Amino acid sequence: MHSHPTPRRDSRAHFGVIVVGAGHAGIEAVLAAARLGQRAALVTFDLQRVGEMSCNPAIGGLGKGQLVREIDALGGAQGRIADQTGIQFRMLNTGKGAAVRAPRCQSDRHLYREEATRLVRAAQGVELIEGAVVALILEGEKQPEVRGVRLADGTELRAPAVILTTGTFLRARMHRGEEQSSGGRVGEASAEGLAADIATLGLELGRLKTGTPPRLDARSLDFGVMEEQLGDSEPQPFSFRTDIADFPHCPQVPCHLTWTTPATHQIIRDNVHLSPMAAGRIEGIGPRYCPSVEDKIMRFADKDRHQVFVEPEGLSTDVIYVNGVSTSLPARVQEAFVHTIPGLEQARFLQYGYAVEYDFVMPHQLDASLALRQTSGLFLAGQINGTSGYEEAAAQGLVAGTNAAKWIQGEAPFVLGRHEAYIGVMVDDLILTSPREPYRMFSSRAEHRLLLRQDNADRRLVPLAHKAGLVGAEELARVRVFEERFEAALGILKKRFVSPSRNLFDTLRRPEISWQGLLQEHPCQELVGLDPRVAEALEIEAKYEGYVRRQQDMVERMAREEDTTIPKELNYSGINGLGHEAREKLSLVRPATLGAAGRVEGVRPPDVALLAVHVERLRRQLSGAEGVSSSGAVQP
Amino acid sequence: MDPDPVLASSGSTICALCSAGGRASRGVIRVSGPLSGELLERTTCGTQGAAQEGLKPQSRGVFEGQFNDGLGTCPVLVIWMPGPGSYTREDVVEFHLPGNPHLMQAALQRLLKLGARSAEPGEFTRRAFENGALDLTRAEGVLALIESANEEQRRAASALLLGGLGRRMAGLRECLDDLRSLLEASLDFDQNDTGHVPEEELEALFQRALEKLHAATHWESARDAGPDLQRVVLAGAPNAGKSSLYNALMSCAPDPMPALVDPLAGSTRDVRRGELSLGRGRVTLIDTAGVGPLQNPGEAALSGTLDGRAQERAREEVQAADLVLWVLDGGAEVPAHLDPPGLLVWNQIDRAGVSQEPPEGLIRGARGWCAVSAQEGQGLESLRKVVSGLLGFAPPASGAGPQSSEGGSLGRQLRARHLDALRSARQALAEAHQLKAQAAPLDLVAEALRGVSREFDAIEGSSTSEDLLDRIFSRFCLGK
Repeated sequence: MHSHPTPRRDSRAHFGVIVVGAGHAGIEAVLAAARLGQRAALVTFDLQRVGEMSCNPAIGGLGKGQLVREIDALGGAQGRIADQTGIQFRMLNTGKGAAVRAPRCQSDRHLYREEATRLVRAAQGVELIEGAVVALILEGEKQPEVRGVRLADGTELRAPAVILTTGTFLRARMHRGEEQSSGGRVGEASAEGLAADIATLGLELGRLKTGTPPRLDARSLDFGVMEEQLGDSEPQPFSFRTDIADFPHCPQVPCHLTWTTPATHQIIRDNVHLSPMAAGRIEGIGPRYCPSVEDKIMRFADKDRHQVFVEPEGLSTDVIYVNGVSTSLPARVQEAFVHTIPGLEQARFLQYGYAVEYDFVMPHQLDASLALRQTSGLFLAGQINGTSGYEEAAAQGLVAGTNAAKWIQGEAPFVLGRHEAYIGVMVDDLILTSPREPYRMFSSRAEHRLLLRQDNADRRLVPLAHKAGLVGAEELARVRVFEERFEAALGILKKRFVSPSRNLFDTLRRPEISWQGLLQEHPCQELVGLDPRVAEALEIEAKYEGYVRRQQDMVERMAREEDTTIPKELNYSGINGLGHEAREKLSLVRPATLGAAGRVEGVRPPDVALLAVHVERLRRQLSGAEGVSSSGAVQP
Repeated sequence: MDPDPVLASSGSTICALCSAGGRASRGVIRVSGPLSGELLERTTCGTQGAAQEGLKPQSRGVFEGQFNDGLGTCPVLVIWMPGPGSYTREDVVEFHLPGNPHLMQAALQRLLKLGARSAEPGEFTRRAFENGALDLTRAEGVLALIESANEEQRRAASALLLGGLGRRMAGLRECLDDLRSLLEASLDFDQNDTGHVPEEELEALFQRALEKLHAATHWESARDAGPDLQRVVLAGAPNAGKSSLYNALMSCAPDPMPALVDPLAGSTRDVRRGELSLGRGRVTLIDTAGVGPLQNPGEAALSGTLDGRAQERAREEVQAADLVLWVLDGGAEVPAHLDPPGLLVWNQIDRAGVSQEPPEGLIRGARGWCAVSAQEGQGLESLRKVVSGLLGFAPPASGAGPQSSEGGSLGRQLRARHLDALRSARQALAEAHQLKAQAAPLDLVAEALRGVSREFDAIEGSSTSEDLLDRIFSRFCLGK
């Protein structure tokens, strides 16, 4: 259920959906809305920076690679752009189990922007517009409804749905040492007008902080003393649609690894009082999983060195991203400590590190379609919801774009469950518990992670995406073919016995037996040349079957509550016996289902039982005679 | 949900003690769900004839027989109500057993072992409602009642946790969280592909966790669940007259040893307790060392003195109380507020110059007040009445409402639930350990350990993935 009724037709509307901000969230949002048939506008400050990688030039990683594969299965662009522009591909966590394996790549920052721009321009129904959005067009007597946006030059763009993907640009402030400037990225302004509009909507805001390391000139570095890090010898693409024959598309390059030294630590300790953090000039909360180098050194004083990853920003540039030394210390201190790191002694700075503080909208004010519950027509995606990362942003963009279109078209929202996708876990986490630090995906957040693997993202999600209209029949056919091959091979494994009581499949269950090992030991003509992805899926099926089934059982046990929606008319203060904390939190968060209610902080199983009864009572009242409103449980 | 719900076959069979707490001649265990018939057959045998066959659940009815809890047998009266003609519309069986706590405990354990699980509070009612056996208003009424009974249960649970299982659980959690954060940090943050976790550290943590889990299970199963009387605790500043009041209230009870009363403040060093009859009910009355409501809880414990320890125990009692009687000396200085709120007992009104009423502000923060003179025996009768009323012993004003069938004997019910969870936790931990030994992928080991955490959650309330991340971030230096 959408939070607001389907919008009336506006004869003055230029578009169905307007997306503000052309970052990773904005791109997926506009493409998804257009895939569903909406005329969609993508408005950006600067046409040169569509798909900008504001921080590290990489896509995927632990917990994030799974998101990219899911975005791809839902017809999104991120995986395909990464495949076209990746300059080093690696599968991480290969030795730790199928559920935590994740793809990652280094990207050519420049090519990534170009490919993103090309895809957006090529997409049917998408218009790319350059301009600064200074205000929302708000109409409506009682509650404000969004009808479009106003640009700095006075142009009005009207549409029933607006998606804000403004990243770190709300009341953005950059810090380096004692310097402060307004802006969300070097050389770009902060979006003050929009921030003011969001304030007039009465939304609850929070403040976060993030940081970025210095960029160095490759020609000034001594790579000889660093450890070389190569990509996989047989790289795998993110996208299930990428043609493996034409992959990797770009030449592959190495990264390098070096370490901080005691001298580095000494300089930082001597100067830490100059950091805006230490001086109390930053109020936003930074991510603990991506601390600044000064934070790492002060908090973990016993560690005598930290890794520094030296990553190229592209094939045709000398810019080097120094991953691991994010900092907001003054420029001269940055130079001094970087020069104590082996290989970086002569480093020339192209850009100094800095921290950026920005406002975000507390996401408990959103519903699972990423629409604001209290303002009709406004959707939010990406860092504006308190998340961090290109992958998290893109996934939300896809959800918001899809749902903006679904809402306009009067169709049910597209909501993924926690057992269906990492995307479902993320949206559920965001709307039920507002983040305390920039929210990043971790596999440990997904209680059903054995089901939510990167290898099966397309099998999990393509059927759902097809039903929602996000992918075409050819995608569904591709997955069907895969399933058929899988079933056929499984049949062969189960029919071939290696001993009276054990078949090939049973043998493959053993942890020490790999697919290759199995075929070497028990040659099987019918399985030679099997699609390696099918083989991988079979091996995982054999080794994880029991555990996967257990998780599926758990999902089924909870299905009843997950499927019971709570009517939005439910008045929690009218429920006798509900615990005080539960009542307060539920009224604030307004969960969509009984299952979600059980995940709200302070809500206990008996509270859920009580809610179940009230939900059923209200449902019967609502489906009965119109205008039954005398009960205490129904709001006037 | 369907407008006319069909049988909500959630598949599981639930059981719980559903007789009233305290001393009853008979205890009742109720079972509901598809396994009910099978459980009946497997735990009972008829009295007539030598044939040791289980009672056959054929048609609805009442049978007599013997209940076998795996160790021995005892007489049982069985009420068999096949669905849909039962309270929940599922197959329901009730076992009426002699009201001996240990026996009930063993019977419950037996049913859990055979595949039933402990019912959540309100679950029978919820099933009844969902299966259409109960209308909305009634279901709502029962659930509201259960919710308040559940409040009581939470208090009982926290009392148990204060009592020793909690301490053991804390150590256990610590150990498990270390184990899990070590693994999860490797899975979520370490960019090395091998998944190398220091083998010795991992194995040592496993051993410690297994040991602690064993100890906790042993402690919980050896614990005397005790009679489930409500606990009324006397608290207040030293020398406010608690012991005098204790003696005065107990003077009609067969208490062999009155509390030592000394005008020198702090003469009651240890906690004393006795059973007290109050109208229709009985309570455990507990006299504590003087404890001011405003002191810092950590303070006394830190001092480590005999007094300090006595004060710490007193605070534990106050926390676990069903009702706190804050005894205040009308002639002395009084605190600004009472925490937790309780019944205010304004003592020593017989002394000259003592106001007959406590200050307005204090009354507002209390659940009621009484003026007494413990010394002279003034006001004791009205105190007894007020306490009876607050504990629900007074005869109910109107119809008692639907019978709460799920209150049960809290201590025993909780213990059965704890043991159930601890046993499952042990299984999961052993499984994780074995997976590790077989060099299974780390994500599977981590999954088995998540199962252990889930069982602990059933005892202590839930933990979240955020808690785990907190631990990881405090322990490991992460982030590229």
